[in-house]
Amino acid sequence: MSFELRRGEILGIGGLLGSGRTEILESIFGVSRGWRCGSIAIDGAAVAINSPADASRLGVALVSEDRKERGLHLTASICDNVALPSISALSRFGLRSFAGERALATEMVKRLSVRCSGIGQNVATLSGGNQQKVVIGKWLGTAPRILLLDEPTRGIDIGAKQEIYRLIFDLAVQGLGIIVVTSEMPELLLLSDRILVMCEGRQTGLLAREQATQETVMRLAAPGMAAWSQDAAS
Amino acid sequence: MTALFRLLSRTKLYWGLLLICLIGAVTSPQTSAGHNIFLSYGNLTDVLRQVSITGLVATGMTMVILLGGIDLSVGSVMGFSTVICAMLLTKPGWTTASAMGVPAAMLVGGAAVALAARFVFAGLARGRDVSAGPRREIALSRWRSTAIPGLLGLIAAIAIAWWTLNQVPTKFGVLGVLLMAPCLALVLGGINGLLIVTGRLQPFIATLAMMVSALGIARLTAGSDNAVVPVYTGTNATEAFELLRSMLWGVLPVPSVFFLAAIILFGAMLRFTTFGRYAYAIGGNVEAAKLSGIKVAQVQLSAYLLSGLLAGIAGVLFVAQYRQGKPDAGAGLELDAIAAVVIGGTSLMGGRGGLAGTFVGVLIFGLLSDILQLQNIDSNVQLVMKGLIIVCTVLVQEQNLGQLVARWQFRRSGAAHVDPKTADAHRLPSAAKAQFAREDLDEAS
Repeated sequence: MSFELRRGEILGIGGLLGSGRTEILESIFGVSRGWRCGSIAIDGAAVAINSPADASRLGVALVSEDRKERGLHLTASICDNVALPSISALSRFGLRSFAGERALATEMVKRLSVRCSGIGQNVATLSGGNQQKVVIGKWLGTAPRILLLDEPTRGIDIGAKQEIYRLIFDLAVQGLGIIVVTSEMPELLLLSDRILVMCEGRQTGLLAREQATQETVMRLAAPGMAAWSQDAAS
Repeated sequence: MTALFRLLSRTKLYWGLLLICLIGAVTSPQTSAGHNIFLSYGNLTDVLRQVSITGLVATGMTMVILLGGIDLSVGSVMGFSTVICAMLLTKPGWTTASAMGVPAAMLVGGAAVALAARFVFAGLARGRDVSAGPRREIALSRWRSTAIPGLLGLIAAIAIAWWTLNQVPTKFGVLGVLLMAPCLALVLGGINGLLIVTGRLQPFIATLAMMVSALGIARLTAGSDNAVVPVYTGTNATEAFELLRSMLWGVLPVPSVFFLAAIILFGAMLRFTTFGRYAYAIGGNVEAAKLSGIKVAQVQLSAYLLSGLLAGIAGVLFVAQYRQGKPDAGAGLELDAIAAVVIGGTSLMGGRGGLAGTFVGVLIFGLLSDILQLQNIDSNVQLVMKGLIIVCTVLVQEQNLGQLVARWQFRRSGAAHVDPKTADAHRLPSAAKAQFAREDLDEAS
């Protein structure tokens, strides 16, 4: 497969569960599981991303699907979680800058309107939506240019969902390139400027916004079940 | 009221320490002049001196356990270090110890200087301010990242080689052993770390293997199975070595100075440096830490290196204390250290705890055995008491006691009107649920 992401664009990746969408994001981010091949170019220059550290240095950020297992340090505070990827950038001679970390966390909490009693609150006690905002804030703190979102609204309430949609649009307007993987069809159609559809680990289509409907996406995502998807759509 | 209760519950470890001191003071026998022996300065400094060796090892162990690992090899590594130290002190010329020690010291010293130089360059290159825009590239020039540090490291290695080779024909002095024995122990710790980080072995397995093989290496180095290398300062070793068991300015025993320094230094490291935050993050959730761009392998490796290093220093102090080096000097030490760490409230799952707790845990053990000794109680009773203390403190530690109380309350309130047929369906809340419920209550109050 091959695709490009433009500045300020939201690229949606659709497909059935297990079609390899998460794996694409993780390969871009350098979380290698098994063999990877292929190349990535940012601003036209080929880059090598072999670890999340490389990725985050190049301004790539990944908000992973499973926030409790892979996104948050659950026994730590909001401040510690938000600052985690930025600690090294904030520090000098290995000494942490507590003021800088707190300022960053305060800014992110305000910007993402995380509902909490303060940045010292334990993230385990936050609601799902607010936890998701903390994970997003953690990456926004590193000033990324490319944001990879894996199921950004999984398991969160409708209000928080709206806020996250608005945030994604805002970020795109600010010029970030955003890739969104989602299993929810309305969300995919709502967010994406273009939709890349995958099936069984392969790219089966790249739809512009105008072409994309529930039906065309399903047809590409599950070719064998085209008849079924037509039934479902009608 | 709740605030007071919370304060009490948060500092209960220190109250436990205080309680033990009180018990000691009350039960302690008096001297003929009517002085309390337990509270006498000599006795308390003796306790500090006795706990220093376990304490140093427990300090390294805390770092490893915080990362969610475990280091079973510290006892054997310490034994190895005592053998090396004693041999260097008493045997002139090229022995197994000096043949291993000189290259190890060169390697470790050179690498340490090179890494330090690189660290300084990286620190100089980096600004404190991230508001300046996107994440700044901190790629150092080749000259600064490899050439100058490499050169400095080489110079350091040569300097160490010159200094140690000069001591080989005669016997080694205090500084010589303090450099070489810990360096060799550090190398063993590094092997542990490499096995775990690159070989992806379970920490338990890798360090178990090292525990067995380090004992073997120590025996081979000493020359025979139950070899004890005696050190008689003044006759077969330098008189200056006595320094390591004396009192510093007549105030603090020197071993405890090492222990206190390690606690303060590494405590500050955990609190104030990025390394410390990374350690907690990795212990708390290694996947999230990895995805946050933390170099997990580096942090883990350094923890095992530090654990080895501290075990090595403990070995030198052991030789000073007991005037001998023997391969099984540290038998069972790893378990004492783990027990002290656990009593100090560090979770074996990693990510929770700290060195202040370990310090208290080590002291609780030391004071307990001191009290029992003052009462002339059989040393085997001490072992039983130790076991009891471990169980009691871990029970009292928040999460477990909370679970017990929640379970008990649930049983009392719910048991009466639960149909025995459907009782299985709403069984006791799981441990995790009880924990969460408790934490919510805490937040609410």
